[in-house]
This record gives sequence, structure tokens and C-alpha cells, in this order.
Amino acid sequence: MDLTGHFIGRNIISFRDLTKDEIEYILQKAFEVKNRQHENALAGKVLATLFFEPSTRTRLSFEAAITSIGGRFFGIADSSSSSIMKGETLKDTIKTVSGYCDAIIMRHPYEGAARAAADVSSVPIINAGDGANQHPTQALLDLFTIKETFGNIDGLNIGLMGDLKYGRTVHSLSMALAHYNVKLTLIAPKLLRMPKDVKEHLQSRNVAYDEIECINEECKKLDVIYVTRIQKERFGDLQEYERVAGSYKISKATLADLNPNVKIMHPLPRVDEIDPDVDDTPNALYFHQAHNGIPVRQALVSLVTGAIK
Amino acid sequence: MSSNSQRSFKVYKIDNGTVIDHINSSMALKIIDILEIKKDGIVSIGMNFDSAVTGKKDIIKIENVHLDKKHTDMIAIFSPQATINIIKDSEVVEKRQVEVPKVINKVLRCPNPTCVTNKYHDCDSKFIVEHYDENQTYGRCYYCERETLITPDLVK
Repeated sequence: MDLTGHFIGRNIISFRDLTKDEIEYILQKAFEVKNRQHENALAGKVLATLFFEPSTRTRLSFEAAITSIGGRFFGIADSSSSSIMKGETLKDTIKTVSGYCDAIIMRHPYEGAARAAADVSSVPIINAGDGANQHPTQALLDLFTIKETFGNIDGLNIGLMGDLKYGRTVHSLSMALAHYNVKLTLIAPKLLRMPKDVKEHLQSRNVAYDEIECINEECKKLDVIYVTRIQKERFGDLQEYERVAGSYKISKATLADLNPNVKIMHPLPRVDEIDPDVDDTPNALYFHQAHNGIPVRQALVSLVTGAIK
Repeated sequence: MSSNSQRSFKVYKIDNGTVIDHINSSMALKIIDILEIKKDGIVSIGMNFDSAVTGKKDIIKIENVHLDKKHTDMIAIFSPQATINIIKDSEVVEKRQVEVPKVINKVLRCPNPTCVTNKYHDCDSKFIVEHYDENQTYGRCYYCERETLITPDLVK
């Protein structure tokens, strides 16, 4: 299917909206960007980065992505900006800002905010995270990294570990992986298991998955372990947190019991769920993964603004 | 006075308007809320009548208002067996079933407290109906994407 020009003016809100062909097209463009086939593509384009809740990595990644291929940006870095503090609604902010730019990249603490913004925006909205819901650009860079590392995504055994209940990155990634022929292992404490509707989505796509509570013998077959942080505040009982948290950490000792070629991924920031002694091993993929946010976001912003067809 | 002679006073005949019959028992008030017809003509409500089909049923009669299909299909969310009779000049000129709509706009609130529709007054709710049967309707919030069983307490 020829998708040339297909993304011009398109909102990127959720993986529910993307077909496999569309995902593959975005990844293909991201590879082209990484291979320097679209240098200065965003020249003359102005982007708004509206971060209604604080973010370091995603905001910096977008801003670096925009400027390094010739685009310019303006924006807000948190919701203490004056009009929002004065009680302006999200829709009014978007109606105003969309008149100043070619696309809006937004993060918001409330689920559905990006979709609500898209309802009234005159320019494309790229969702950079809406509450616990979706974070599609993170999942795209995760797919990109897996594809770049393994050559393809089909046929892989992928473990998702940690806070699978509240982590929006694993929700988006699960939906993305549902387009591929993969086997998933969901590794989480009972309290933080993958939500029912995400699992139903996997079932509806015939994606095989296992649910386990901690790394076991079966995990030796995993090609990737995608680690997410378990936050203390999710547990009412801190003793319970202390009891389970250790089971979801990756160290050199853990690696010794896994597939020697397993790749460890993480959306970052990590706290202590991956021991720094893993960083220098060939298994560590997480910083490379973070750096891949640049070409993926460059491709996305360029596609929706028409800078790349 | 016999029960039969009281009958005509319980739900009296209308010459012109809409009769919604076979409403699931005790759902009439919720359906009036969904249809937003409190200010449209004279509305009569009968609750807990005997029904050969469902055991008990409610009835709503709205005088001088002819509700269209798009409007009345909302009833199917809570009362899929309801029937609609359009009355003109004392005659039933149209009789139709209700069908669960694909999209439910505005009338429900999302149960997710951090859904954007619960945070800004200018964000109306919208649910996409995912699946349903005779007893239950499941919808996905168009905004926060969470699936929920649609229950009467979600009517705003």
C-alpha cells in the first residue's frame, strides 16, 4: 500500500488508530531519517511543545529532534504557565496555539486530553503522553529499536516486566506489538498486572501471552525484557513493596540466568530496577533506545506536517 | 372502583405524540434523563405495569412530540426491548424497535475520574459501543479509551 502523503494533517493520538501498514511506514521513514536522507526536513516549520505536566526526556527528545533537522519550537514546560493557572480550558489553549504553529506536541496529566485537543485543533496533535493512557511515540521508538536490533519484530519472545498496570508505555507497546507475530511474557506482581482491556486487545489479535509473577526458567527464551519501574506509591503497604520490588530488578547476576543475547530495554528514567553494572554489557539497550527517540520523532513530526511525504 | 376502570387514569391515551412501551421496569426516569424531554410537551410516566414479555415494564408518553429514531435509539442502552409508537390523530402511524447506537454522545459520564471529560466543562463525553447483549452494553470512552459496563448510574 502506497502511503505517500498519507500522514499530512494526521493526529497521532493512540495505537488504536494505527494500522500495521501505517506503523511500518513510520518506522521506514524513521530509518531514512536516521540514515540522513531527510536532513533539514523541518526547515520553515514551527512546532509547539505543550507539556502540561513536567517531563524531561520526552520534551528534550522532541526539542532536540525538531531543531536538529531545521525546525523551530516554542512551548510550555509545565502547567504553571499563566493562562492555564488562570483557568483557561485545554480546548481554548489549543484553539489559540494551533494558530501559531504547524503541529502541536502535547503531554497532559489527564487521559484523553490529546484526543480532546485534536477535536478543536487546526493543526495535527502528537500525543506525548496522556495520563495513564497512551504514549505512542515511546512505543514507536521501542518498535524501531527492536526492529533495528533484531532485523524484524515477528517471531520474537518479548517480556514486559514491572508496573504493567499503570505504565502507559507498556500499554502502548502492547498494542503496537499486537500487530506482530510475537509471544509476550507479562511479568508483574499481582497488584500491578496488565489491565484486562489490554489483555483482551491482545487476545482479539491472537497474540500469545503468559502472565507470571517473577522471572523464572521460562524467561531464558526471551529475546527482549522491557523493564518498567515499580513505584512505591502504588503500594498501600510499603512492606509489601519492599517484599516484591527486588523481584523486578535486573543485575549482572540476573543476566547470568537469562538468554546470553537477551536485550534489556527501559523507557527511562530508571531508579534502581536496572543495576548500573548492566550498562556496559552488550545486553543493555536502554540508552540506545532513548537516542532512537530522535529519528522516530523527527519522522513523525515531518510526516504530519508534510515535511516528509 | 375496579382495577379495570382505574386503568385509563394510570396511563391515558394520547392523540398525538410518542409512546415508549416495554421499558425495563424502573428505568423510565433514567430514560427521561437520557432523552432530555422534561421540557418537551406533557410527559406521563407509568412504572411497574404487568408485562407478558418482561414481567414488569414502564411506559412513557410524550404528548405532541414525535421522537426520531436517532433520539430513541439511546433507550436501547438500558432497555433494548422497548418499542416506540408514533401517534398522529389518535392512530399509530409508526411502530419501531430501538437499536443500540454505535456512539453515545454527552448523556453519560466517564467513570474514570482522571478522564479529560471529567476535568473540563467544555469536554463532552463520548462512548463508542464495543459490544452488547440483551442485558449489558459495554462502551469505550472515546477520550480515555477505557472500556466500561454502561450502567444507569453513569447517566449525568
